[in-house]
Amino acid sequence: MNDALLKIEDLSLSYGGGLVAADVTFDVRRGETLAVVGESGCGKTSLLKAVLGLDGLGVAVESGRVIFDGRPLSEMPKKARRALLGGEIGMIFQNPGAAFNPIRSYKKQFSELLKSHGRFQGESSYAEIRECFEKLGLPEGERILNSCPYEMSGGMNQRVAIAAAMLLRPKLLLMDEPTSALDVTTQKTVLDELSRLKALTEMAMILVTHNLGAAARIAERTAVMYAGRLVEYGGTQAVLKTPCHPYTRCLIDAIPKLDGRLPSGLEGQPPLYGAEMPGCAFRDRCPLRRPDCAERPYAQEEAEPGHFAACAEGRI
Amino acid sequence: MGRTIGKRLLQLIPVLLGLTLLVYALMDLAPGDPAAKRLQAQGVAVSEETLDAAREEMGLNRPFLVRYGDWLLGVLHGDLGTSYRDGLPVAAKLWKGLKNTLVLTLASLALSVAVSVPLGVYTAVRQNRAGDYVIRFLSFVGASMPNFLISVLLMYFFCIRVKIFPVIAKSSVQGLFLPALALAVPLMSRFVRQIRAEVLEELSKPYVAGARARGVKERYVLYKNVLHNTLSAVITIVGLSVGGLLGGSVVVETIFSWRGIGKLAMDSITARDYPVIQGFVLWMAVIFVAINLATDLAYRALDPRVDGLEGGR
Amino acid sequence: MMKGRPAARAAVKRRVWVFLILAILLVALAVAAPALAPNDPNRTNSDFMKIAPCAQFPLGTDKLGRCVLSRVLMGARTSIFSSLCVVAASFAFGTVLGVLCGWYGGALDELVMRAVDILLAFPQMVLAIAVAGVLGGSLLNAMIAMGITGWTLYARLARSAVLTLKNEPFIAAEKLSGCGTPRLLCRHVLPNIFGPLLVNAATQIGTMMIGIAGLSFLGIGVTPPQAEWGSMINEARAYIQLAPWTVLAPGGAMLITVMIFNYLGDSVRDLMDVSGQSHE
Repeated sequence: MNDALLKIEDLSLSYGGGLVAADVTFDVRRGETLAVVGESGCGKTSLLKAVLGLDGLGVAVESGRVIFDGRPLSEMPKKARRALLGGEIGMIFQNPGAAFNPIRSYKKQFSELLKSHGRFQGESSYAEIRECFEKLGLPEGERILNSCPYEMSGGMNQRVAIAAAMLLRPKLLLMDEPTSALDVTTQKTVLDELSRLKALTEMAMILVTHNLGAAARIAERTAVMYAGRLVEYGGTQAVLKTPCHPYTRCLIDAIPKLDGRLPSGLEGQPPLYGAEMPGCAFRDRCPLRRPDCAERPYAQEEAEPGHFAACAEGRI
Repeated sequence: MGRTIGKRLLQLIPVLLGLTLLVYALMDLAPGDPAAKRLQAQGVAVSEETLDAAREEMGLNRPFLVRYGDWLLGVLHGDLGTSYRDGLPVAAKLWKGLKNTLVLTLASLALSVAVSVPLGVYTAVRQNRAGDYVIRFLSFVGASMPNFLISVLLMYFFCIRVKIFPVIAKSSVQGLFLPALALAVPLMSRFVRQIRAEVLEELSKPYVAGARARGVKERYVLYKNVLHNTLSAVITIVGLSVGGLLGGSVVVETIFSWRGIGKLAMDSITARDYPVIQGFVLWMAVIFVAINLATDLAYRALDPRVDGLEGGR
Repeated sequence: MMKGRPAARAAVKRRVWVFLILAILLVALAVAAPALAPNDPNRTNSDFMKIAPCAQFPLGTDKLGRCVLSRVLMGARTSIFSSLCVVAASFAFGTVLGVLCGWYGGALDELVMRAVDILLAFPQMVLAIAVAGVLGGSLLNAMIAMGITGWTLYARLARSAVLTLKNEPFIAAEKLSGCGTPRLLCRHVLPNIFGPLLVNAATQIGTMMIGIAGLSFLGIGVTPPQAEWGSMINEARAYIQLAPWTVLAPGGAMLITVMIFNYLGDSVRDLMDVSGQSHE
């Protein structure tokens, strides 16, 4: 009953000529939210792009499979794959002002959207849209419909984008750092809306973020990525409270805490195209590195039931 | 919007004044004695007496600024002087020719837009495939060909070789087609490439990916959104080509004997009929300025984000 | 647009080289024209009028029995040199004026920019036709007529580039270390504004060529019997039925030449865009 809606099996992706992700394996169950966290450039956005499968995003699948709702996406014809967009797989983009045409009213764009999915029914559709807005806590639905994106703030535009997703009710909603471009107060509002979305629908969600707090708030499971590889993966509480991998531990230690402890930063940058490196790509920055880390092959070990990590040195 | 129009008109006044001064000075600086030219154009023998009489009559003995002021006053009243050749008022002659030229210009613009917009969209959507390369090459050729060459070749093939069209263009649709085509070819060629670039740029914008990711049908993306946003660019391109059309009409009308203002200008140049040349340049400039203003305003009206601020200067 | 900028940049650079070499070849052809011409371009020959291409006259003869190939070659000289001349002069004049306007501002700036506005209020060819028509037909007058508006874009580009550059910290730094104004302008300002100016120059060559040929075609440019492509086409169009090569030869030569220079201009512009000087 709670089988996987999305299965990623040994997925390797390339972008711009180099490997940006390798041997990624995880799944997302119906109604569940998975957070994928990591620094910029770790491959998490490429992962979303690969699942979405839109042409022209530059991401190429080198090996592995993406299976959605029992159907392997790579074997589907282009047309069938495009038919999934919006209705089965939806996406929220990082830049809120850019996902919609800035100079056309939301009314027109929403009607085109519904027409494209064969669901436009004139006035009753607009009522439906306004209802969606209300349920998500968006004020003055009519005014929003009559406005153009360029007239509204980033936060509002992002919330409208989420409302559009709710309207279409995709089975899986992909979110690429939906709050990164927003200020802290607005971030909270958007996260509230996402929580409401979760409560109201049965949507499975993948939340890509570098904000561990957001992950903690709405994700049941969390995956941590570093240099294109999944280094830890399991229930959010388990991963954040009892991390196994040294990198996860460093991420958590980098968060300012309320008890006055100073955060400890992590020096350096993740390697570009680190997925191509033999051995553990984190070894150059890892405070717990051992001499044999350079030859250590990548493998997920189950530290606890449902909690996987590529390295358990970070366990206390 | 009204304020913008007012502001622009105000800014135009010094330009228009300078323009008229330039036109007048141009004719004044022409080598030779205007009195002699007038007499020659009329076929009257040139002698001391006739020259003196003509100079007196033409008011040539007054200082430059006075003559300019006088002429300018006349212009503001719609009087552009009289032709040296036949003494008829210049304004009337120009007006007759202008109507024909307008028809020609509009026809070639319509033809260009009708052909280049679909081709431009096609080559952008089918970027880097065979059709794209072929059309782009052909437009490059078309844009590199001088309009007199195109006219001569068109005339050769369609009037002489194949005899579909008459050699001397009558003022009818049949007579209009070839000169309009001749003017349209360089235009179309430039338009296709520019529209292609605009559409490509628009297609790369994030909202296109966003719309596609939401499952919006491609034809909505293309026609309702991308094309709509490129409309302002199309208008600008069209507006900017008016200058070339006005100049090109001289050549094309001469070759096809289309009785427009360009042909009139050329005939006047040959006959040294300076008042007509003067009036021609003045009118062309004023029309050009008016169209540039209209284009600018249309552009602002289409893109609600552009406000009344000046850019660049 | 493709990502992967180093590869794109290399490809564009290659294109620039290809067309630059072709353009240089054309110029060389023009320089060597007198040596390459098989016959005297101005020598009329009543025995050989309107002859189709043959061994003695590889591109045939025109109505006066003159060798078309020789005239096309000499016409190349006229067209290419005159256009390059006008572009160079416009470039120099416009850039200097623009830099001075941008740097000093004030009355000079106002005056020059107004003059530019007024000149640009005329459609370029209309003004050129009027000027050439009024001054009388000659190559020099045609060049002046085209040049009158040719310098304006350089002035505007140079001026706005200087205005943005003026506020750069490194200029202030140079000033503080005692760098004199002329040196400052030549050493530091000019090299940084070259990009768009160069693009403009490259794309202008074709326009100038067509413009001068157009004026000659109308009879207000180069005067016969001097060989020039525009006037050759004009002379020959009356008997195009009998001797099509008299129009096709100069026409083809003109088309190829303009295309090469236009491709050059396009590649230079692409090079500037890829180098990151685009306007987003």
